[in-house]
Amino acid sequence: MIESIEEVQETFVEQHYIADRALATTIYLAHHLKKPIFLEGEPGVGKTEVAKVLAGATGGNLIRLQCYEGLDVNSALYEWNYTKQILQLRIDEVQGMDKEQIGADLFSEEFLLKRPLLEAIQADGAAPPVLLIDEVDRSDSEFEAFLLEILSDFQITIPEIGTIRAKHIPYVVLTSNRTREIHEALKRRCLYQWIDYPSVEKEFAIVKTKLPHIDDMLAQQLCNLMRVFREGDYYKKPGVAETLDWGLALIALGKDGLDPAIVDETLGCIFKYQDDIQRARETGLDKMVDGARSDSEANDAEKADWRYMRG
Amino acid sequence: MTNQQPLLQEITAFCRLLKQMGVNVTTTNQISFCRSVEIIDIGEQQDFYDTAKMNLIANESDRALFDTAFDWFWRYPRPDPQELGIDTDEEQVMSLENLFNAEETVVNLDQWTEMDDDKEEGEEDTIAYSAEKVLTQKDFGQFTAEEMQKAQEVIAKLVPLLATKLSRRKKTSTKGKTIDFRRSWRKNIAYGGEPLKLIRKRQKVKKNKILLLCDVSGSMDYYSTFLIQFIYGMQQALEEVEVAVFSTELTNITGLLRRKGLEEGLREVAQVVPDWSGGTRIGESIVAFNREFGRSFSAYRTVVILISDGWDRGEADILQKGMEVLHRQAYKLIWLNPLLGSEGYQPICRGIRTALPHVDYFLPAHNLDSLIQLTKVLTPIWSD
Ligand SMILES: Nc1ncnc2c1ncn2[C@@H]1O[C@H](COP(=O)(O)OP(=O)(O)O)[C@@H](O)[C@H]1O
Ligand SMILES: [Mg+2]
Repeated sequence: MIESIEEVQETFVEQHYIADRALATTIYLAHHLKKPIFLEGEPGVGKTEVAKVLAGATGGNLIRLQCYEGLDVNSALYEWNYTKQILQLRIDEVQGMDKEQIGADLFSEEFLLKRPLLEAIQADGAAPPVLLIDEVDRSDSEFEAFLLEILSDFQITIPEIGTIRAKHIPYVVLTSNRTREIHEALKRRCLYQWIDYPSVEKEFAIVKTKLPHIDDMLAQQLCNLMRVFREGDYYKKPGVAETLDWGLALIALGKDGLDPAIVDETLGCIFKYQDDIQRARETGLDKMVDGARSDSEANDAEKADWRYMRG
Repeated sequence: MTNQQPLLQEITAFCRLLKQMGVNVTTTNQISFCRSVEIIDIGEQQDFYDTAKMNLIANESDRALFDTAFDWFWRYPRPDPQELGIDTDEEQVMSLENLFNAEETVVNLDQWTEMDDDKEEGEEDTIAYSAEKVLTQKDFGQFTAEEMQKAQEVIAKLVPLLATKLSRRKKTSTKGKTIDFRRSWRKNIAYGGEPLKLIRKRQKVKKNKILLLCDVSGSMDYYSTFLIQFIYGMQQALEEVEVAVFSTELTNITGLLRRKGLEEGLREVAQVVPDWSGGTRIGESIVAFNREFGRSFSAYRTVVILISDGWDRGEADILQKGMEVLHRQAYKLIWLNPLLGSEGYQPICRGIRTALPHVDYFLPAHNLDSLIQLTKVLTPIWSD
């Protein structure tokens, strides 16, 4: 599926993901160069989804390491299963095993709890796994140094067992919502791709592929209005996830177009914070909805085939 | 294979150009780019561009810089270096001929990266004040006397930190021309500006000034007092501050505060200001304000911060006219409204509705958090 950039785009569309050409090129090159991908952008622009879709498209397993504050090497790599080890000791004793022999095998693979990174390195399925290291910006910066090391040679040394080398170099997708700057050294190991909020045309394509039953006109108005909202000065700007939530709500309400009243009622789908909802109201929903509606007439004609659109 | 050779040379030169512009391209990046180029169809311009970008930059904020370099470098025939904005008289000049020499000529890269914008942005939220969190989120109007005291302490602690940030921004933006090279370069590109002749011909920048226009009618005097304290705490960073207060009439209290000091001065304000805590005539006060500070507007780059709840008993069209003039004269006009902090508030009262179209920022000001927010708005304005 990764023989050409076009093929990547097409396969992604089959998996209901709209990838612009630049992103498809990144994936194409990551495959051929065996390099990790670093995706950066605001929340909800479709970064995490790239890894899921890539796994779906290649048939590889998705292995996810969700980063958080305080995430340490052990929880990312491996831990020893103490309970099982103690149990084994008991069994050995009860079975009257030789004193010398008791506990001899306790530090073997059988007692290893594999965490995502080890799992990715040891994977031996038919296709290489997709390792998703999600929201790196939430981990502590010491963790970055460790990641850098792992991503450089894809091997792990466990003192009691030895060195484990990856059979397949996994696809690696790192994401960051940019709540803090990630060290350049880590990013420069990767193919870097910034993912912006989608253009109105791209978002329309996303909405149509994710919510195939949505009315065209409604979808268009929705995307127009989302752009207006994103241009506004909000504490948390809505991402694509919000667009889809909102679309779903409107479908459930049986709507085929927007009006100020319904937008007002459903603002909770778009904004998470009360302040933002209030601000949207203050900005004047009437006017914004009006604009979104008249734009939708103008844009109706140009529904380009997004698969071949250039970033 | 033989005609690959020149391409490799070009790539090397291009990477060197980027480095000289301050992008930290590594050797690994360069090799990876070369390998990528063997895999893609370099006849496809867009793909070539995307490929170069994903290999050579690792920060969206370097994009504009990258684009300029790319547009200039990969054009045939290559345009005059002047178009890249390289001032060949500069001491820290990058010599374009050197791009194609084998030896690295990274000019003062350390110095440039030291002032990387991105690093500064990362620090934005490092102020630790979690212990006082509850306090910073509580409405000033609900403070007990004890909390009032505590809040003053928090302000005293916080304000110098915020002020340093402000002044640091300011400093880098007015630095001498040689050192500011890279920054102004980036900046100009970001605004899609002229091709970069800016280094020498920097405009003489007007000094900044803050004018505070404070409503002290009714419960507003609480909020105004906090705002004045807050802004005065940052005075060193802000260069020039003047304050006028109003309820029905405008009084310039800058002199009083200077003579008596902030604490004493604020205590005395209530006596000198007519009708303190009385009704409000915002429109008339703004007209008076425009008159009183008319000269400031042309001599300084003036940021006006108006704090009021917008309850106006005066004439609507006076307010309308006054706001229009004020907005035109001020560099930025910020309206702080403590009511914005209350749940479900909508700016329906006439005063606010009349004024809003003329305001650049409409922000809350009911607690410490919102005042901190205000500095975040001020920071970019300041270093513009
Ligand atoms: N280009 C796209 N094509 C299809 N769906 C998308 C696209 N971008 C975002 N989405 C959808 O938006 C939602 C949020 O995406 P996600 O990957 O979780 O965002 P992020 O990781 O950037 O915060 C998901 O439901 C995802 O399917
Ligand atoms: Mg995500």
